[in-house]
Amino acid sequence: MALALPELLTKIFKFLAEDKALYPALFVSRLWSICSGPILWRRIELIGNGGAFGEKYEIQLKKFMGVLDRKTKPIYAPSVRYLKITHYYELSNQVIEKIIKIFPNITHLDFKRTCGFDDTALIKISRAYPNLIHLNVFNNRGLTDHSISKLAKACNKLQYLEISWSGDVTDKSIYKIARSCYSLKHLGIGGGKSCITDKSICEISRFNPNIQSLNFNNCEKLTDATIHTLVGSYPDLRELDLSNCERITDIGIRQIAQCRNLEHLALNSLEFINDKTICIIVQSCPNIRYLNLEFCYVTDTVVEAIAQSCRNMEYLNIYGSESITDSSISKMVKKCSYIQELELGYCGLITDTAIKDVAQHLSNLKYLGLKYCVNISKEALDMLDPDLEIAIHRAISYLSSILHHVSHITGGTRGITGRSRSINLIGREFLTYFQSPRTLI
Amino acid sequence: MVTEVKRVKLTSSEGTEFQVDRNVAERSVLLKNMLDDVGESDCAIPLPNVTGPILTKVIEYCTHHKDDPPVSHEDEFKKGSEDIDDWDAEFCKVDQGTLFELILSANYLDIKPLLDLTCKTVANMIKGKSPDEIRRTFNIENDFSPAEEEQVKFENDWCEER
Repeated sequence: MALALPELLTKIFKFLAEDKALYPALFVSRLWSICSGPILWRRIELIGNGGAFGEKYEIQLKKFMGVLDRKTKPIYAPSVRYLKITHYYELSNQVIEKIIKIFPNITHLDFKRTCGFDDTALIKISRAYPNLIHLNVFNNRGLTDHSISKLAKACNKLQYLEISWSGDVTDKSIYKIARSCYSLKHLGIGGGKSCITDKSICEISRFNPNIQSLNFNNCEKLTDATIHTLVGSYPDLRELDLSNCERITDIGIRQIAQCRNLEHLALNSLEFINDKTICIIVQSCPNIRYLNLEFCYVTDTVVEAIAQSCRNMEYLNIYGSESITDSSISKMVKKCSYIQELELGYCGLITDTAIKDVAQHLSNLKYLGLKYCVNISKEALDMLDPDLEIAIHRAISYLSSILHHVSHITGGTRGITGRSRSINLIGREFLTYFQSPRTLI
Repeated sequence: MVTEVKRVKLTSSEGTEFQVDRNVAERSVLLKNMLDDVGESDCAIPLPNVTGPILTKVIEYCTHHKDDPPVSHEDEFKKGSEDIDDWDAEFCKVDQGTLFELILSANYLDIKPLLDLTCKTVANMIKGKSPDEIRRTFNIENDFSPAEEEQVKFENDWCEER
């Protein structure tokens, strides 16, 4: 019978690989277990959300640690290629050692916002996984040039490397990365402590021709010279984050318009940027799907330019742009109907008219930021989808009626550069919000 | 200019002979390679692994799909188990035994679209069922000892969806 043949069983199971539909197959019989395990657990994801309500996540983690502690490896262990553990603050060197022992064939490691391990563990990782393709140690804070350099040398097949805020990383590491990782497509080296300078970026551009995505968030020493280098070496650049790179000037930013295939651009807190520059970029790069202009203080002109050119926009953040009015927002939502996340916090002049148009035209909207948009009424919010995640700051008397209409209220902090955390306002937390609404600024 | 439709002969396991157009037969990569090697011969190709009724079904599928574009190589792990068109869905409304025979034949004859279709169909039969229900549907024996069952549970139950 067909179902007795492992190759055919495997073929059938591959159609169920998505969204864990294959999970019950593990328990049907020995053969089914052997065939389904490797397919099901090719990717292991333990994704925390940084909030205080991760009880389910903690249980998962505990069980996963239990699996690591057993003497016998799980049967699917050699098939695991992709391991993601995020928002976990106690991932120690010892746990990393166990992971390495049990899962020898990992090619994708994602430890974003996870900490607890340091150079020792990273060096072990680089020795154990010479074929590593993807590594994310965003916000680890425990790593230094010492291990990053060794990593670069040992894992020269890396295509994705995200070491923003990972610790004390300087130009030294960048030089090593440039000269080893020739297949690199994404490099993220943002971070407050970083001493990344124009020189090291020059090295990257000399040795890494395949770069498509760069994250220089907070690289305060970079100047216009870097932009010039980038635009010359990577005309096909797709993603660029220059948030908080305060030494770059408006003229420098304008050069970005030459990367016409840009899809993702973040220019947070670059207050000196003129509307004209942003308009030029937006007009030259019609494929932009993600645009973060938080604290760039843009005006209606920019939003109208976006409406004209960037029909594929999915994420737009203009937090802090106090002079934005209904007219440009209305125009934009009519043309950019694919928007999923729209951050309009502090756009205080926006009224119900804009909300009405948002409700009418943005059918894919998942998140709407309206903090300090004081001219918006309850009736307007009623027009929005009840499942929509909304960030607001409202007077106490209004809150209770809103809770009938929104399922999550986000109390994000300043600087929303992506998905905000969602906090369910129940019980205690609800009262805290009531008592000191200003703390949620 | 008249283009002659070439016919080929196939023999099932019971010895029944089937005549099909060459382009229909060539939906099977196995047959295509054989015909390319054999050339213009008039001999029948024996298929000892395929019974008459199954071969009839296979030919029915290949005839309906004879003008399909060549199969592109998809990323294996992006397959979903939806989007089966109506004709194909009707075609697969057969008893389990026939369905499994079709899988085996499609595998042997190397007809990827038919193999994908039949596997997808079985996958849809598995989807959403509990282990017990799956065993009943396909008449599979639970050969786990209680200890083994515990072990499988322990090694796997930390995932989110149950």
